[in-house]
Amino acid sequence: MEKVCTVCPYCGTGCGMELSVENGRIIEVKGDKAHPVNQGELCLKGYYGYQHVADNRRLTTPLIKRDGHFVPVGWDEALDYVAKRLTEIKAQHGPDSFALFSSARANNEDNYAAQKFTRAVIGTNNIDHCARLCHASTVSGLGTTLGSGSMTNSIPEIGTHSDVILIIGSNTAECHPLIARQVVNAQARGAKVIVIDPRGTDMANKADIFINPKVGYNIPVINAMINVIISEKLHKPDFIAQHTTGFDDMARAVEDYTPENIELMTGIPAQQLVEAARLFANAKAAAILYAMGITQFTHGTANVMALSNLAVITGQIGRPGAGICPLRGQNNVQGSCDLGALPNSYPAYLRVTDEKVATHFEQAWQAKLSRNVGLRVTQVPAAIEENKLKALFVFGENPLMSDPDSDELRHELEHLELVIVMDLFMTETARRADVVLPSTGWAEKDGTFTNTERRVQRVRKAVEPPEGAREDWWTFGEIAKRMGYDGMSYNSAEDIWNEVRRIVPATYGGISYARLDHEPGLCWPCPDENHPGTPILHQGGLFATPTQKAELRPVLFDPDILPKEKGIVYERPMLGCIAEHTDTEYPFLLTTGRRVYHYHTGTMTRKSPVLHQLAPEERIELNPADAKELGVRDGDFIRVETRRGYIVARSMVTDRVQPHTIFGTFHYWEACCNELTSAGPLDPEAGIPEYKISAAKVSKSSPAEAAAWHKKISDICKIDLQYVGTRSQAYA
Amino acid sequence: MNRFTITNPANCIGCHTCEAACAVAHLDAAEASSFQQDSFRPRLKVIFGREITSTTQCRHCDNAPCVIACPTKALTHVGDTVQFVGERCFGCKTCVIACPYGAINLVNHKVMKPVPDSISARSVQPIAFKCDLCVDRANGPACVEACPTQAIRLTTSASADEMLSATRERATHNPAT
Repeated sequence: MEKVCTVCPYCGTGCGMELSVENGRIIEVKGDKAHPVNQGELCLKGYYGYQHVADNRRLTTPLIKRDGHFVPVGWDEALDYVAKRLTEIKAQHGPDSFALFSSARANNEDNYAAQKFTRAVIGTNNIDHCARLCHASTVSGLGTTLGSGSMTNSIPEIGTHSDVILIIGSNTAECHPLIARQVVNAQARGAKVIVIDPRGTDMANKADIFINPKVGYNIPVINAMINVIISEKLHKPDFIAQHTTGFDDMARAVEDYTPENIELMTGIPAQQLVEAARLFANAKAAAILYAMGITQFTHGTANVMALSNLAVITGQIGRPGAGICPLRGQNNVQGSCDLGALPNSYPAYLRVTDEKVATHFEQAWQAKLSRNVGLRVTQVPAAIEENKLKALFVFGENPLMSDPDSDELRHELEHLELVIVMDLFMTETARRADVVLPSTGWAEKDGTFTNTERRVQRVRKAVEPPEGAREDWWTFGEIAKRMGYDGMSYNSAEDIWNEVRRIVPATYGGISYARLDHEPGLCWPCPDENHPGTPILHQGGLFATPTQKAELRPVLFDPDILPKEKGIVYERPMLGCIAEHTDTEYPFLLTTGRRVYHYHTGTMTRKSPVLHQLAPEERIELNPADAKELGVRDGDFIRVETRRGYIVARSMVTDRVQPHTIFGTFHYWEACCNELTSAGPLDPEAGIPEYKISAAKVSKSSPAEAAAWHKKISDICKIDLQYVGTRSQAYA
Repeated sequence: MNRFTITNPANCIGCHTCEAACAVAHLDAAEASSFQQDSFRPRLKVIFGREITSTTQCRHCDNAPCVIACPTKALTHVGDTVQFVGERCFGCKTCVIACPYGAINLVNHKVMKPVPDSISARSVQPIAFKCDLCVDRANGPACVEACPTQAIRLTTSASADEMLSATRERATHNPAT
């Protein structure tokens, strides 16, 4: 039996794990005891989420759709075909008629190859990935105020140093269980926990102060805390004077947000806000943990900046255990952003619009590069509608389930001339592709992942991929070669990584594969081989902004309409409102998220039988008062409808959700809440949609209606239940 | 004193890893490859309420109500545990009602040899089902081993003594707490 040390392929926590391999198959997974983040522990996805690797539904041959059916073809034929079609489309419609969705599941090397292919071979910046749908607001928010849109501290510090932990809009226990463990460890040391969440999550059960606002009311709560801090003089005037700009405007903007006013607006007891503010400001080291409950709003950037204001004025940043921790969703979503799978930046966030930067990359890559910012994921449907986009390349992503308003996206995809999907399985998106390319998974290739704390870690090959599957970077290189570009003929992942290190040395220069073999990952920036990495950003109040000062911004909120008039007196105010309100026709507020058992669209976890057995179907959370009124018992089918569409799923009657609020996930194609979410309006800076709020109507359903719905959605997703199973039939 | 596992709600984050570990630990090799719903069953349950997160499982009571209630000795004391012998159970459900922790489930059990042509010959019948403390497992209870926050712990006679003396020590030095 062989043991292979690698990194968990699920959430952004990036736990180290040890795979036991026997006869070419993974037979067991254990936590890596020496790993600083998880210290030998794993959650159930880590332990049992490996089983999809050997699943017999894995794609094993390239497929080209002919007359509506997939036909298995050889790699040469598939690559020739893709190269020919892309060359034709580029010649006919220009390079900007191509877009690529990169993958936060794939490793850094694959992402680097994908963006290089898009930029150097096609000649467009139309590359983006699902970070647009999760932490785009963090990248735009913290990127502006602090100069770096990433977690400021390392995960172990939460357990060892933080004495107050503010968790807002993060269901940490379910979505980042091994970070929740650090919170539990901190509590055992005597640390206090404040949780601000519309749902009664497990972290709320653990909290010393639990503030339970309505969905969308983040800014009033944060501003009220800032109001208390300033009026009670708990802020740090020296730190503010030395290291920040914009305090006066910001302070003026929160004047109206007294705890009493916010109690009137939200029903949250004023005393609770006062206590939370005092606890946070007086902490020796306070950490803010946040996730989608902050970012997935049309005012996501404003939410993030409000948090940034809170941390900065109290000086709770740049020290061990004190900082802002956006908890990134996917194993490598940090890495795919860092490596330039974004429409406005090259690797290491160098701007595509910067002439000097562009020239640097042109010389390095020996290609002519576009200076125009490309399309975001959320702009792609409109670009197709406007006939601007002709070809879409999707790898390691399943947008038909993960992007908002599935029905619209399905409709738009049909207008494209060429859709290429590269994945492990025949996903819901792949079924609608023209070309499907099989790829190798996390356990079958070498590379690096970057977790949420910016720790670049080695991912190691443990088993052979299924015959016919190829590494993503190899496929991009082969298509490039066929399109006349020789700069992507790599021999190994390490080859690619060394190119990354050469090209952006300030960030990655010191992170070599050789070093990663001895060290449990290194947090970027790490410019040279003797540099220890940078677990804590902004130390000593030196921020990464051009002025080295943190920017404080006025943030204003009105639930009904953007408070433009109030904002007029400020320079660059951030404004927030709720885009879609409940009304008499759609009286329920639908909010979405994840559950601990599954990962996103379930492509991997639903093919891992242990996980699937524990949570085989969608359950929509419904408050007991509403359940009673609707005559619904726990487990009964309910029908949920929004302006975009409807689903039928089983209910979970629980007071974890507030009255007139329901909660569902996007794990199950049979009842995916993204059939219901809205693809617009978007956050003006981040381009993120408002996943967290949709107005919905809910009614009691029946097994008969559920069966009819199941048939309908099976047809829509082109899933023939008879053919889910064996390798050859899966292609039918 | 009987051994038992108990969960500290202060540490439990409701991640269900124990349930997965429990179900997997009780699969035999054939079941492990097929994963039918019938054979995949956790013996402990995560309770995720509005105020508290924890698990419920068998406490292996020393004066166990289920053992007293069982008319066929399907539930018996074995060493320092309470064990269940499936062959003796005829599905009377008294134990389910007797258990104050709700730790005994009824599950469908495939009867190997139904009596042919008999009207009572169902191939599946409900029987009781509960934690066996993984007595045959080298590393002890799978839930304890898997729990990422050490919320579930195995308490034995020896560890209870240790805990008691530590508590007494602490109370002596710091009477206020």
